[in-house]
Amino acid sequence: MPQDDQARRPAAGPDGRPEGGMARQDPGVAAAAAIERERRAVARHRESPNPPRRALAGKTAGVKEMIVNMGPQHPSTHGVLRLVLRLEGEQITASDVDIGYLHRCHEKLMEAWSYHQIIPLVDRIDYLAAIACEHCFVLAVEDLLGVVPTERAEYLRVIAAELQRIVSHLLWFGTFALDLGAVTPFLYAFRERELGYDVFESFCGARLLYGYFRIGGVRNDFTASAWEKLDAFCDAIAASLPEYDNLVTNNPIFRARTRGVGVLTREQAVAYGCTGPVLRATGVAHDLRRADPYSIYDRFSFEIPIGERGDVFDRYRVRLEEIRQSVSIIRQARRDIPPGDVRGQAPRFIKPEGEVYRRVEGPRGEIGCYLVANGSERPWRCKWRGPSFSHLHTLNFLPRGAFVADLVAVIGSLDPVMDDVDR
Amino acid sequence: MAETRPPDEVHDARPVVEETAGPAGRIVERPAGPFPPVPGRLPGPPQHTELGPQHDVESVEEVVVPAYRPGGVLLDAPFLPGVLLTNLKRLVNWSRQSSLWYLLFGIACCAIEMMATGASRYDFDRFGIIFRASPRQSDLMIVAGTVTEKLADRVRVLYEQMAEPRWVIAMGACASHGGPFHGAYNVVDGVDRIVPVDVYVPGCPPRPEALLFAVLKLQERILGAGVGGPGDARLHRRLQLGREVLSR
Amino acid sequence: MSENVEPGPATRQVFNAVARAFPRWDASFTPRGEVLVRVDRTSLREVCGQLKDHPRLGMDLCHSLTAVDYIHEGRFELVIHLFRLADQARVVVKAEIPRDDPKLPTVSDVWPTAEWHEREAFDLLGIEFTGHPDLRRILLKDDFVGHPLRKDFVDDRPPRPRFVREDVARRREYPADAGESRVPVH
Repeated sequence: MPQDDQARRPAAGPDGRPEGGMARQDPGVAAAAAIERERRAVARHRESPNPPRRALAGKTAGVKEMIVNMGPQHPSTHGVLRLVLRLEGEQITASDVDIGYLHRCHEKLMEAWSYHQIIPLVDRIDYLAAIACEHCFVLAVEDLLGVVPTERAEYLRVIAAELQRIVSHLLWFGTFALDLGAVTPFLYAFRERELGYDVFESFCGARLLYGYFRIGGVRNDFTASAWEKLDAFCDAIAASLPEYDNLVTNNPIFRARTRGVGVLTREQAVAYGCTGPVLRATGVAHDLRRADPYSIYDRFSFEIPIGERGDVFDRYRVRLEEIRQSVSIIRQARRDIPPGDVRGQAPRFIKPEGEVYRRVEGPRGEIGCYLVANGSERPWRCKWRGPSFSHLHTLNFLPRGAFVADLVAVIGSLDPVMDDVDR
Repeated sequence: MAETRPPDEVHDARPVVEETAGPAGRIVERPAGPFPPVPGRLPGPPQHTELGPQHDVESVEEVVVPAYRPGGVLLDAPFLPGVLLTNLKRLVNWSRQSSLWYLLFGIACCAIEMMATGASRYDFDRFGIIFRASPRQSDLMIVAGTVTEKLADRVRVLYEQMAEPRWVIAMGACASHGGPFHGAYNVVDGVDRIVPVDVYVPGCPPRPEALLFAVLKLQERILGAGVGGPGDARLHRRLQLGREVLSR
Repeated sequence: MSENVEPGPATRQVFNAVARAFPRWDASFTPRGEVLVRVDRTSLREVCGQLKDHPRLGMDLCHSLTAVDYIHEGRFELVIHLFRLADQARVVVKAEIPRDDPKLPTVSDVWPTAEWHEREAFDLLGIEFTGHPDLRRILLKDDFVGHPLRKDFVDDRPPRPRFVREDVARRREYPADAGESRVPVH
């Protein structure tokens, strides 16, 4: 229970009333109050029951504590994340995560846009996994309408989603290595990623944000050149993964910097709502594509890579292995895809009613979409659950006892996309 | 403002235009094919017939500043061996535009395309553009993404931390005018509400080619700008001080 | 419109367990095949604690916690989406909150991940979670006025003038718009 409720109440007005439709506060007072609240938050996380990784006593005896600000302009925070760190020398004793620097009002805009217009909007929520976001939203609307996509469209959706997973993991691989000081893997990863961009470009015309899914299908079929590029991309990825292993995975410096760092236990991961590779690295074989199959994922055979210790290295291994599995799924879908229509018969003007919660397995974890429709052409409310939001919550206790350089590795291994966090 | 700035050629400077030949001190577009013989050259070997990799360099003194870009810009017209004629303004601008260091400040989706531009296929480095993590060492700020109300102050602070002269590219629809989020309650409708912008790049997100084109446009602009003009306040103040001292 | 979805065996098991152990709860099935538990806000903590810790329930994954503004009915509705990691049983918990007194006990000690979700609901919808360890704005600035996801939110930010470089403004062919300030920028 909070002892001093007054101090924790955000932006209380000069007359003590809680804010909300009242006069603006003096910016100086607000800034001072914000700093005080941050100090309090850092102090609270310091008292949190999660044990530090290394014993602090002795190593930093006599070192004065200081509070250091990291971000929002920091090259290794993957966007505009801000951390308030409490340091003893180089060791972190407490940290507080400050998000919201990329809050672009998606949920409010969705209430003003029609369902078809929202599809390109959700692209921008997780811009590295645009297809996964589209998939989640389209599934939710299809649930409300009772529309079933055509068979060929389902296969194209799976191919696009797995392609997106590979491309997203490639970017993560490059930037993660960059965070740890290795520049070359970044260039290698982008070499392959550009091939993936080419495939996307050849079937939907865009490189990064696609707008490819439609309610009841997809926008268009693959062309012959798109199939060719897809095959070439799969071959190139399969050939370059051993190269990545030689370059990074077996590198002794890389192993020393990632093994045993940022350990997340299974209980912590579940309690803090971690999903996707972060959860699987702790040893939980939980993948929505297998556990609660959506679309046509129950028709493919693939493995769910899991880790053992839940450290940074395990998350790295899980993601790298997922690239292999995705290549396998794409090849199976390529083999089995039936001919037919891809656009479906969904009506152009839709006015769904009811509410639904859908989730899909994105590259970063489980994406959730809670849609409340009231029979008009626009949603009444849409809550978007981004996996990075929950992952970043763990940064309130995960870096305790680690060094600042380890923190960079931990952030990179969580693979946050800031707009997925802030929405 | 006009009263704080002397009316010289500085502010009337225009970006580079296509000029096939010009007087000394003007920018000369390199014509295609063999370089034409320049009248009044000193006789005797070596005879420079063309520039480029095939150019046979006899000694170090005879290296003329080579073309910066394919079909590109030379600093000056006369090619005397070992002699380069230009003025300080051109030289300073030329060196400035040739080593634009940009601030590594990715905000949103456009940052991914900015990274792609810096990576293997598009390769920013060949234009002399490399990223710096610190605003103190940067000349160019590529605002790659949506600026929110919470971030607005930070962007302004970063801009003010950059040393002059400094330039800003608004990359993408969001940075230019709010993009799809225009008018939303937490979105600043364009980064030009916070810092002055030199080049706007349309697209959501812009392709790497578009960003490269924007950088080339900016380089042209820098080359055409005057030293001590807008964007160079410190030098400008010194020049003004010098004029005052001289007029006493 | 869509047909009702049959609940899966795991979800049905949860429903049976709830009906047997807590007959007083208002439990039913949603059209999407989830167990829906409607609770009063005074008993929210007790219900959530049982959902998490009861051996036959054990809903360990709190996927989402949010609220919806039904302004025409004068109420908010808290919605929690729960899953069981072992077999993907699905439970939705709903609690009504009167719009004039948006207060609710926190569940952040039941599911730690709810801490940030509650902060977000507080930030965007202005719902106060009593007992929350650290209830402050999470996404918006501390001095932001109002709660934007409320349906009666009015955005009254002061306009920001545009910065235009002097030389750009002079060279421009079209007239400057009204919100533009021609201040020298250096």
